[in-house]
Amino acid sequence: MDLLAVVVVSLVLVPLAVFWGGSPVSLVLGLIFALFSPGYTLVAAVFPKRHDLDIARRLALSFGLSIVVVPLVGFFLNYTPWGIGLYPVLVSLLVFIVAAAAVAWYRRRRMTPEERFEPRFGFSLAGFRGREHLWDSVLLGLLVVVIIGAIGTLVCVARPPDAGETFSEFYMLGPEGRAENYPDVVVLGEEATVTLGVVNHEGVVTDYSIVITVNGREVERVVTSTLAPGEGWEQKVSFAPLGVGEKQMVQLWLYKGDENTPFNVLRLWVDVVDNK
Amino acid sequence: MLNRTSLIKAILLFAIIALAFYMALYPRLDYPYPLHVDEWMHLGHTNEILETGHLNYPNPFQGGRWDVGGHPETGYYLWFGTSLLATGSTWLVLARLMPALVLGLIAFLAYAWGKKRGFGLEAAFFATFIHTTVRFLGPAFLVPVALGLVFFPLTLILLEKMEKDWRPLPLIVISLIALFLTHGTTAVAVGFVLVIFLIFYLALSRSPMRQKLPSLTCLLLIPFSGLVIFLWNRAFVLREIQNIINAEKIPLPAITIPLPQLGYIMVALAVIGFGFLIARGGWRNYALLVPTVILLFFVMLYRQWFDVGPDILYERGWLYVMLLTAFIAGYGLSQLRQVGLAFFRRWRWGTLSVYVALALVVVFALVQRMDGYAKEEYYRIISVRTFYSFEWVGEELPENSITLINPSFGWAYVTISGQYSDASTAYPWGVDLAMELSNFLLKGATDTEYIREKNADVVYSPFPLDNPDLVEVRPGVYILREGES
Repeated sequence: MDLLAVVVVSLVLVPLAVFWGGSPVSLVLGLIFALFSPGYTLVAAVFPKRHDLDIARRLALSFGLSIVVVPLVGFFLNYTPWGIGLYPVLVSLLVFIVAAAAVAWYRRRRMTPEERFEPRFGFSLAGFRGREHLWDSVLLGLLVVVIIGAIGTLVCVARPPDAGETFSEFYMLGPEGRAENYPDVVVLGEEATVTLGVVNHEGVVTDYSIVITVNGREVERVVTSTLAPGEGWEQKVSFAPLGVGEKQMVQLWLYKGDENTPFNVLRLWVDVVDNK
Repeated sequence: MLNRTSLIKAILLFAIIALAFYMALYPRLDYPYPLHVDEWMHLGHTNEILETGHLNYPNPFQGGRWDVGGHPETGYYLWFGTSLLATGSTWLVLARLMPALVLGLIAFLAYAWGKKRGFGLEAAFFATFIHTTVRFLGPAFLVPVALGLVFFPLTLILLEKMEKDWRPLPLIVISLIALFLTHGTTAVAVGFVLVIFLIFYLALSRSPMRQKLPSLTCLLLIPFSGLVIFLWNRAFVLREIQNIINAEKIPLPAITIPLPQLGYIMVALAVIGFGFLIARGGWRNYALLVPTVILLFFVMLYRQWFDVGPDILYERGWLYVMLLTAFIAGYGLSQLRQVGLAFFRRWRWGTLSVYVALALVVVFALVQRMDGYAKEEYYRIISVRTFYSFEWVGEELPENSITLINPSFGWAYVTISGQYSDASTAYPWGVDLAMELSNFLLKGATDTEYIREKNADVVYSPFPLDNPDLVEVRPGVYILREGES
């Protein structure tokens, strides 16, 4: 049963990792697949007898030897035409798990039921009933609490904390919304266009405004809509320089709310040429 | 059917594992990202291997200009990379989760190893005390040496099983091979401990010679397991051998003994454990004692007296000492329990008093340990704001852009953005390049020719740059105009 369970979990994991990778289920099954199953089946194949190892050592070796098997499988894949990718890694580990499980199953079959290792879950609540077993019941409850606590700790570990840092993202893209084709040469009287974006990480609803200056002279003012925490704004913005000249410094100032002091600035330089 | 004793042991074991998870998280309780520069470096290498699908891959920290081949910590990247692929999680989630799982695993393996000799829970408890500093690293970081610590109890369990059995022999050998590919220094330390155990077993055990044959074979095979790293990266091994022959002063300052961080109660228990190991005698006790003492003297006296390389064994040595000391402290506590119970058993409240006293010792040891952890200082390479900037660069800029960046940000930049950096350096490697780049940025990055020479597309600097050929597209992020590169 144990070998079958390990193989089934591994078989379930492969499509999960491919199609629903990143989900909590694939995280748990993936960790079992990578950190437990290869070692468990290897230990089962090498030590098929009940008295070979106690359960703690069997589990410990399962985790430990998985750490041994996984890099070596990856190492082997490096010398194959498939390389180290999602499918080769999943399939090769699956093949290893199934093969080791098959060897373990074959070796166990040649033993008597008393001789072979098979995990037995002979747990029954019957032994915890009655006043004479009050302490045992309390301890059992405590064990459940501690196990939940351990899992809870792990969940807390996995969830990145809020670092308490507040800020606003401010960025500039080209006119097509990609980081390319930024205005370089502008004809006097014509407009240059960029795409500006703001994302609110201030933790509170915030109003933003953007002022564009060329060589220190204001040429454009943009007011973004009110942004809720986590909300973003992105829009094309055009500006027209006021005079001819090379390497004119365009500054894009981001203001927050009614504040008079800008808290972010972006810069680029443009050559402004006469239209004649 | 669970009996009361096994219930209590299960409760304590799960509580210890939960403690291990918490201990590994402690340095980043209020910080979402990896802390140490090495963590970022390993993440960058892992991502690049998964990107290219091969172990010969462009070095992402050197602008992808030359290939990394035969990286000595490849095994770690493969292990972490496989976990990423199998879970489908982001590196950010696993980078937080894995150190906790690894320390939990170390504690569990310590339990499984010590259990047979009656100090499993105690060994597991003190194994969670292994300290983490920015200097010698540790289990709270996502680093190969932390994973390597798992191999101490793992191979010791296999070694004990081998006393009458050939079957663990190939498992020990492949474990060492995997460890040599994961963290060679730890493999040397684990091999050293195994050799001592085997020598004591072969010399002092009364088992018949026929039973000792697997151990004798293992003793002969251990040195050969290191051949794999020689075949994988001959230049690296030769360089390390050269370091041993031509020992030089370590470029970094001496490591202070981390006893206050561990807590003096644990240290006292380790001393008591030492005493009991000597008093009780027997090859198993000597085999635990001797390598610990030798490693302890090595890390304490190495720098001041010997100056024998390679220095990495000195840099990481305290971790091995702390793990072995944790085992011995656990042994000491278990012996105190046994002696206490034997001494007070006739007294009505004797047993209870002994357990209460031991519980107090454990609680105070933990309080001291947490106090030591709280005093340790960890740096943070990036802020949340910087993280978002780097992530934005990865999303918006063409793939594999090369960025000239302040070297202290370089390691994190590669991992978050998926772009190449030039350069990323950690002292004492690449100091010249780091200085050159820092000077370039401090002068305002006005030398466009230098950017062209580096074949770079992006410059990152937290300070304003005054180069008209650059467009500041986001605070700190400058891209070279098309046609300028």
